[in-house]
Amino acid sequence: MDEKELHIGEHQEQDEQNPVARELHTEEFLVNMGPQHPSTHGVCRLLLTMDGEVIVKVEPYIGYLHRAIEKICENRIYNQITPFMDRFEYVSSMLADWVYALCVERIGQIEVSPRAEYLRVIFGELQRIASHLIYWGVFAMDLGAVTPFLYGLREREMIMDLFEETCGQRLTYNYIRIGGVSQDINPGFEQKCKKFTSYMCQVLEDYETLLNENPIFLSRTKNIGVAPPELSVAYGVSGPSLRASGVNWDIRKDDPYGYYEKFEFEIPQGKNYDTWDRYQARVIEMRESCKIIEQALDGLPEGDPTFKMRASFKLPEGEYYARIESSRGEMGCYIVSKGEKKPYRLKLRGSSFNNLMIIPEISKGLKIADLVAIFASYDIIMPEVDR
Amino acid sequence: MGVASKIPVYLEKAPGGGILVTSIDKILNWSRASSLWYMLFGTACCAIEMMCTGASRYDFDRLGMIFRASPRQSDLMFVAGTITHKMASRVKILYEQMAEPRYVIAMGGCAVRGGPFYYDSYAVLKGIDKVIPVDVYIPGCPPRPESLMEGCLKLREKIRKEKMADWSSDSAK
Amino acid sequence: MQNEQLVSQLVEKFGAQAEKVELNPAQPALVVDKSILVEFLKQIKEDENFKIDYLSCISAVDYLENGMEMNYHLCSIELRYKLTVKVKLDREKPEVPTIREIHPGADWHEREAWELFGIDIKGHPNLKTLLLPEDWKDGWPMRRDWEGNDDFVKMPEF
Repeated sequence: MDEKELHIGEHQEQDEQNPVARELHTEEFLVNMGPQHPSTHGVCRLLLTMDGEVIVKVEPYIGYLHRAIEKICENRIYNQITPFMDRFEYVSSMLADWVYALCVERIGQIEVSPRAEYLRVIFGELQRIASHLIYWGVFAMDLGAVTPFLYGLREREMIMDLFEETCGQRLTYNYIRIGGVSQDINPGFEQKCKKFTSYMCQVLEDYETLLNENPIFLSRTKNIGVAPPELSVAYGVSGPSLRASGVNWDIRKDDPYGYYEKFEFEIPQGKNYDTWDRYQARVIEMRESCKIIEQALDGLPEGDPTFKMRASFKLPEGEYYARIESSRGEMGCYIVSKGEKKPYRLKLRGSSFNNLMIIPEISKGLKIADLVAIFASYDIIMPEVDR
Repeated sequence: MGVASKIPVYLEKAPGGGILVTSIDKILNWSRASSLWYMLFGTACCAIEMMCTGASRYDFDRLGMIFRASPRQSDLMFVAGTITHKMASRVKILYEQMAEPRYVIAMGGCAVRGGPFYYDSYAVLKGIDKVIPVDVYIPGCPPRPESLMEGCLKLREKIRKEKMADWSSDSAK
Repeated sequence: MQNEQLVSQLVEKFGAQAEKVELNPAQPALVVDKSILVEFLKQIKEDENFKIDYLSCISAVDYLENGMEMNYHLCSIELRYKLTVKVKLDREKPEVPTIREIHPGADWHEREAWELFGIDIKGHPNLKTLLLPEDWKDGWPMRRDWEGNDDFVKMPEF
């Protein structure tokens, strides 16, 4: 199939050349997509202004999951806040715990033991793979293929087993705590984890053969939703979506935290800035994450990864904006401390918040089915947007 | 005899053969309880566990449960996750769009009573039963897939005990 | 160039209008008057030496009697700088100009600050509810002295 045939711009040109289409007056109408819609990934509502099949305007309405986490955190002591971070970003809870712990550690000048830093890298990268597996399955499901969803969640369950034996939870881990991690790994964890990463690398090849040459999948993703680098930077898009727009920006490398400087990995960059590139960036990232995990397991130092402290402590006065590279992009946490047991102000920055803002810009002139593909390719999840 | 031979509890053979006797209650409840199609509607964390339950390892299909994207086609609604005041009216509309008989399972602490967001939150609804009637409550934050399945089995038990008179009078209200 | 150098260069360039704040060595911060905010952000975005073109986040903070504050967390994609720009606001009548023209990604962040803190964003064309229900009438919930509405339950001290 010729890819150019499906390029959206050419459809419009054909319409303009066609005298009937030019003369027929069509009236614009509104289509309400969500809050309950399988492909808005939660409770996002998109109000579409349509001209026939073509999207004229997209207006997102958010806040259906606004749980006031920032307000709640102002009234909790520092150790009580970590569980709320799990719920702030439940698809990659480990990384949300990490950004909060990082922020408190930077304000309080708390040293983290090397073993804890290594464990954070291992669990953070496992979480990144788990999150991208959901992305991979759900993205394909939004485009009409159900099988990838079952495959993706099959592999995710293996990661859930590793998490569960370490911290006892499947979804909201509360594992990365201030100053360290909640507990050490069990004996035999390294072997299981290595077995998983080598299995994962094999499975990724299967994934690629399943989707990468599928003509329907290609024609629904290639050249759809092109987001040029300048536009992406201006809208504050981050993470794999920004890298797919051809921008070399990864906080793990460019503003390093933890021990990421010690590991070797590559950052994939897109060339066409389209939906396909955004999909591909995440698949490559899973492979890179496997590499990081293997390096971290090989270099895992001995020691005690936990941090002993009182349940309620006073954090010194100060403020800091910490940020990490979550599976969706830049996840930020800004804490203002006034030297009390509770934070004076805690602000969370979810990457999906900015990633959602660019969707109305790049989906003008496309069809609704393309909007579904774009929305899924940005990996928007609503708790991060609404908080 | 196919299906009929597998469900002796519900059907009785009349002497002479060729005729099966059952009560309307039994056969209707059996068919309802065995194919609970649920609506694909998740608001927060619990939705991920609901997805896991529907996917490979836990395999909801073996309970006869298949997800539907539209409320019009579904019998069961999992309220999976936190419901905010902004969302509550939409949940009510979704519930009203479902065809009767319809069932609701409140999944997780948030849907039961506000969960961790009960205190200090100005936006969260403190329990979905303030808006729509709930059949089964499943605690947990989030509940494991096993407990979600246990909740569904409990709902099936409840459906099997239903009397035709009950639900017809309920819909007349 | 290190972060400290960036701040000293900026202070040198903008003189009395940009004032350095000692916060965290890893996080340089400047206080800028709201009247020059737009011009300041525009210049540091276009200047070849700074190229601060990426807006991470905007956070409003309510300091009660000490007024309010808008924090713009910025960074440069190419040159890897980080910078926090602070704007002090009067609590009685908090106003700040919109920076949508320079950073379109500020749109929702500003709407959020308006909605939760009551900070008036001058020049914002689409200032309507973002996160709260459409019929919200109980004031600015994220302000420190917000007393709660009917549904609000304060956590008991333990």
